[in-house]
Amino acid sequence: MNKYEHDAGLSLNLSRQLADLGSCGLFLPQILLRIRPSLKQLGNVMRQLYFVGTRSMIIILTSGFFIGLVIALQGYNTLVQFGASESLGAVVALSLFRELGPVLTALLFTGRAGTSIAAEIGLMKATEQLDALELMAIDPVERIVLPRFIAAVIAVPLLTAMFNLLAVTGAYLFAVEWVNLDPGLFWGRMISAVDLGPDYLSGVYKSVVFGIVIALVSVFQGYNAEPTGRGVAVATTQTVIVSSILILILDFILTALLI
Amino acid sequence: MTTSTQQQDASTTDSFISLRDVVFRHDTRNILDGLNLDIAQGSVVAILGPSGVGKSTILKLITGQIRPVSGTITVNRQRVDQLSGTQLNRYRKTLGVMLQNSALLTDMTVFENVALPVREHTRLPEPVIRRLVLSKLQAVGLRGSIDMLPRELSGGMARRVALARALVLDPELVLYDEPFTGLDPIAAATVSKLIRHVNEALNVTSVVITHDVDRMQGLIDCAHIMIGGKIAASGTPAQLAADETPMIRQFMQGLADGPVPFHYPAPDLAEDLLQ
Amino acid sequence: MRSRHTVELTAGLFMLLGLAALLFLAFEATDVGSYSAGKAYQIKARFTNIGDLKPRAPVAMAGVTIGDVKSITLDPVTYEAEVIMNIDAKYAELPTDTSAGIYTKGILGDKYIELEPGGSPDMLQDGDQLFITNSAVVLEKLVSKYLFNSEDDEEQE
Repeated sequence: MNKYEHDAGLSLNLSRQLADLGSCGLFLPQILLRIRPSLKQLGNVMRQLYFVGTRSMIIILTSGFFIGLVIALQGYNTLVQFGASESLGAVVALSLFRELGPVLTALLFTGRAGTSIAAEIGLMKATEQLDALELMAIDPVERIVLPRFIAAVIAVPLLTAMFNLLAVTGAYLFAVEWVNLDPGLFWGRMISAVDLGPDYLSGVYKSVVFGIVIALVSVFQGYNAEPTGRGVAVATTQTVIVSSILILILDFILTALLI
Repeated sequence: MTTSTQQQDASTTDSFISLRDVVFRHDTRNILDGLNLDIAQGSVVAILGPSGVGKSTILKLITGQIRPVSGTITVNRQRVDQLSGTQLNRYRKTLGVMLQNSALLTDMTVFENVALPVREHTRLPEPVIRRLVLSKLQAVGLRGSIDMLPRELSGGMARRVALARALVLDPELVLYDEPFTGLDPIAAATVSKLIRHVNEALNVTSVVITHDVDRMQGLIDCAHIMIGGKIAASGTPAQLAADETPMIRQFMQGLADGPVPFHYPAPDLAEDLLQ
Repeated sequence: MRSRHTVELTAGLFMLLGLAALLFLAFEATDVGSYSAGKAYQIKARFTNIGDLKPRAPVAMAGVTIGDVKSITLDPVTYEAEVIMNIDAKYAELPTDTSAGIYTKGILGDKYIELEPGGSPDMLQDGDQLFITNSAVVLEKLVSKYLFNSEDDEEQE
């Protein structure tokens, strides 16, 4: 077991991880250079958007709703001690829009869609599908990697918005139905506390960056997987590890920059 | 199809594929070591040899996926080892390759898989694409499977779909990587018959890479046996079967031990045990 | 072929829903800053001390928010703070002798600007300046003033 974990690349070999990160970054221009304004590419992106976007909705919406309920419950119990329970809407919205929405959505998306992208591309490599495309003079990066990358980049900010909306709805329902706060007060306090630029848009920027990171890490891990069953497993695990760490580090950096 | 006897003096000028003094190294190990190979236009040729001897390396050299350390590879008067980017893509459009795993795209139906090269490389209208794809699938006997997904196909059916896909752009050269591996005898016989049939009907050059000696009878015009990074013997199946060289005999008759040793190189057993 | 279209259709639906959520939150759950979006005019005021007044702090009259603070700069000549405010165009009829003061919401709340209307028949125009201002009350200054005053009293006795 110990030996397997070591082999699977779960150990923190720092220099190798850094080198991986470097070649991962170099993969980005290679992908972007293949963008063409063609209907064929658009069709491929839409197909992938179904797999990474539409099919991630259930987990994102459910998680969002319950996260909203939990923050509202926790926030209310604290606020009510200071007689500030009418600020619940503001507390919930600020923590969601600025931090929890983008970060949790990104982490959930990594688990739901990032891993499946990495596993799928890795498996295509292991079963010679990428070789076959190359031999048919079809560029696998353009045909396989690019649509998945673009679809993930588009999906993350949209899923984040859905997550936030459902979480606010959950919190609203808790406040209005459970602890009988005034609905107008909840919503009004929220609106006056949340500024479009520094609070809401900063969260949107974060989600865009997270989307790029997850998309890049997933396709990179899949495309560079060792073409064996174990290689695919390693690629999937690495996708979760590398994406999650990068998301949390970047969240700190972006927060510092955007504040 | 008259290619039976080009032996060691193989420098026929009008050969379709010609590999000259090809050296290929992986790390420091020489996989191909001064290999020479000529394949005539329109023939069905097998490259035989034990597993791991570098047969697939030859295929990858011919398709331009890898480049030799030294030596030249000429296919249809083009220096494949010197082609770059767009030239390589143009060259590959004249190739049909059937890979060992069939390598059909898992998220597309049989029809879409076969149509893929047409859609990517031509601007034919949909009805023409449909007719083209159906005729190729008809030729491999799988027109009824167009709406199936690759995971619903048996191994033999997947190979045949892969063959239809390889043929859909009417290639000049078709390469088969281990076409019989993992197939039951009936499916293998079907694939074998199809290879022969395709060669005659379309007048293409066919290269079959395999370790399956028994399938060769009646399929190929000429076989090259690879041992130790070189072509050890060439000839018709009958000639090779009669060959008395120990190495060739071992391979053709499937003997466990012989010049190709049973034991992987290791220190003396007694020494190892006493350690 | 039909399945291919449903795939693309649901993907399109997904994008629509996502965009709708994005825009709904942007417009319905946040303070879009409507004062600065064309439908507002600016007035200036100078204060000797603004305390911790910040940009985007509300500007109110009779407790009703009618605008917000656009920018705060220090006049390098007079060493006064120059505050530019956005006032909603709805409230165009403010007398020229309106006064401005900086107050605190509650005891520990944020600073905001409260405007007191004057009695002048002339109305403020875009870019005008308010001349009567009350600076922020800084707690430490109050405290120290009180302490020094009481010390002075003791000395006098």
